Amino acid sequence: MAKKLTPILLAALLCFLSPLAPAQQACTVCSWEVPSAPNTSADPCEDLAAYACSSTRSPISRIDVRADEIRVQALTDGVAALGYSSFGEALVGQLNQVGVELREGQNPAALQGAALAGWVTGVEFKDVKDCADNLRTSTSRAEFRMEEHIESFVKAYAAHLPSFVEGMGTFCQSMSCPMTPIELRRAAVDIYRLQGTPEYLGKARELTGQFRDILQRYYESAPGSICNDLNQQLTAATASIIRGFTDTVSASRHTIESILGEYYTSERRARAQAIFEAARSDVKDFVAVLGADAPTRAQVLEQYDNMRIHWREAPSESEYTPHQGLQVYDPGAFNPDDVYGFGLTFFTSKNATYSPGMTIGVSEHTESIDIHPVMLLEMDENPFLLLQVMAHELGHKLGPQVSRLNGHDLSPKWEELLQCFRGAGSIRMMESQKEEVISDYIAAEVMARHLAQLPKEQRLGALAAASQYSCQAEGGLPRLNHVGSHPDDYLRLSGIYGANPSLRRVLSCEKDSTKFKSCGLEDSLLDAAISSQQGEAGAPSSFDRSGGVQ
Amino acid sequence: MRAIFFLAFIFMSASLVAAPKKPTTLMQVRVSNQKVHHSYAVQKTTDSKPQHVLVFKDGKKKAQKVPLTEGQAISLLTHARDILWERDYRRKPAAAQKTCREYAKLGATSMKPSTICYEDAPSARQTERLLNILHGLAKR
Repeated sequence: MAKKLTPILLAALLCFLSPLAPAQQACTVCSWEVPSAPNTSADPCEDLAAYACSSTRSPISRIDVRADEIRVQALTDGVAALGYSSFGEALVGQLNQVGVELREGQNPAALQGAALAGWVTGVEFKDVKDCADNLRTSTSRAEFRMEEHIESFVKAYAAHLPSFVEGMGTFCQSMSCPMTPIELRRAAVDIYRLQGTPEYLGKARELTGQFRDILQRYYESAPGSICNDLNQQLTAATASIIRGFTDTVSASRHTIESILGEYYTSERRARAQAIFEAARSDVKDFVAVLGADAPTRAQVLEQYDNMRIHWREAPSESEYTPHQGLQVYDPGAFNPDDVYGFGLTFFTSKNATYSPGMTIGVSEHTESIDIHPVMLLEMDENPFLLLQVMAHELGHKLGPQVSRLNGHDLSPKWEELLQCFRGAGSIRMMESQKEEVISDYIAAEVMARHLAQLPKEQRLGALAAASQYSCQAEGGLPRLNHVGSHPDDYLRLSGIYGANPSLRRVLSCEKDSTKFKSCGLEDSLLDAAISSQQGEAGAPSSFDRSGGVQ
Repeated sequence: MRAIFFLAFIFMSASLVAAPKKPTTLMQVRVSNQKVHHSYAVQKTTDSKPQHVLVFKDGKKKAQKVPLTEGQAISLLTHARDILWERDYRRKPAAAQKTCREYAKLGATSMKPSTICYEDAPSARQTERLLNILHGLAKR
């Protein structure tokens, strides 16, 4: 009995002692639902982009639609503090306050769409419809109610003085105006500075009203353009008003708390944390594969242990200031971490970033991975995508320049591999792309290790799922836009991931594709995992040499 | 000789008919730093009926032209005007900066292009937002 137990105990002890043990023992991806492989004639061994992106029909996914729903809900929660039941209704209320009315029957959702997009389109105004109807049905000049429509102009101009001043400056060059352009600007600026106060609108209309006669004279000579010109002015006023209001609401306390609460549920945080830890464990093992010396390795591993996911916290109470009846976040100085405001567009962007640890003045920034909230929605449906993205971001720490920045120069270790990627047979990497290419290479190594733990028939489906981030970026249409810090998505997928020697082994592909040369280090993460599990302790291995599962 | 005059007449009249009117630039913004050299311009052409176009230039690459609706063009122009008016006429005293690291150059019809500085946080943030909208339109 004792003889039988000894090898088992020894194996268990070595598993705890070996730094590679945890990643090999646990199969993170084995419990995930693996999507079926794409139904396409494209060959993943030849062109992974064509294969993986074959079913990516549109760059707008269900996730994008859900992200929009979440931000609209957060904005609705924000305007509830002002007594409105929807964000669209609140926007209509803002316009009505300055005398801009939508055409009867116009759905406030059109205004909401305009506020989120950043431009006004598909919004129809009551005064423009009245004007157009009147112009269409009038049989004589006397019948056309010119004065009424000029009055609409006076109101519309008052709702946005910058357009009035800039537009009138040109207008007055050909017409005799009641004041010079300089006098007009001076008067308008004085009133503009009052915006937000009760006296603003009255004074603005008083100023724009002084141009009634000249407007009337002009449009009597050219009545055909009056309705379109009125539409332009109302569009400008609407664009400005809804943008300003949307900025305010999206940086308001209830909105911020709503959107953070919706994305950062405890379940999602725990799941993302588990993926982060799995990827981190693999990337830490990669440090040994890279052949870093012992002190460097110890330093890097310690820094990896301290690395965190950057979870955004709601601002503290003192960071809000009262504005337009709301508590609004005011970050003060230009702050790249200020993601609120601007219609919450940050909460629609799919991205992740790595930030090295740094100290600026007295503030310290922990080395971290910033996973944009929408990526958590992606994770709900497709955790393979987040695993690949996490591995890529974690890999940045080992990049040629970033490693130098972090105090452990690994650039000599990469030079031979980079030379391969620079080659005509590979992706013709540009110098500005080194960091991203290395991160992709590390992520490919990590993915190979995970996919090797899946049954062979599931690996292609899993890799296609992991590749969806790049497919969405390009809408499934490869473009050879070979510039910038990231290589083109086609080159990333087919030329780095698809040509990675470890992934090719796991997928049972030939050594090289006919399109891209395989670029890899002599040692791989996959080999490290295989030899470690097959070796020392005689522990049963979950890998075989071709990446198969025993 | 008559044939030469005839050909010359054809060429002259063709060039008169085909001569496109110079487009009017409604707004433009340029960002040039270590990473990007992007410029965006919203232009209006009035060849037959008014048409709007976004002209995007990425470094030395050929300019891309994207058609815009009138509503989009007006909204972008208004956005640029608002940034400049807000900065010039409603500046908080604390926002007056002593130094200026250029973030972008921004111009709108009848207003001279001017520099948006990193130190002027509200203008820089709004300009960043405008750039994101323009980039989204250019990449559609």
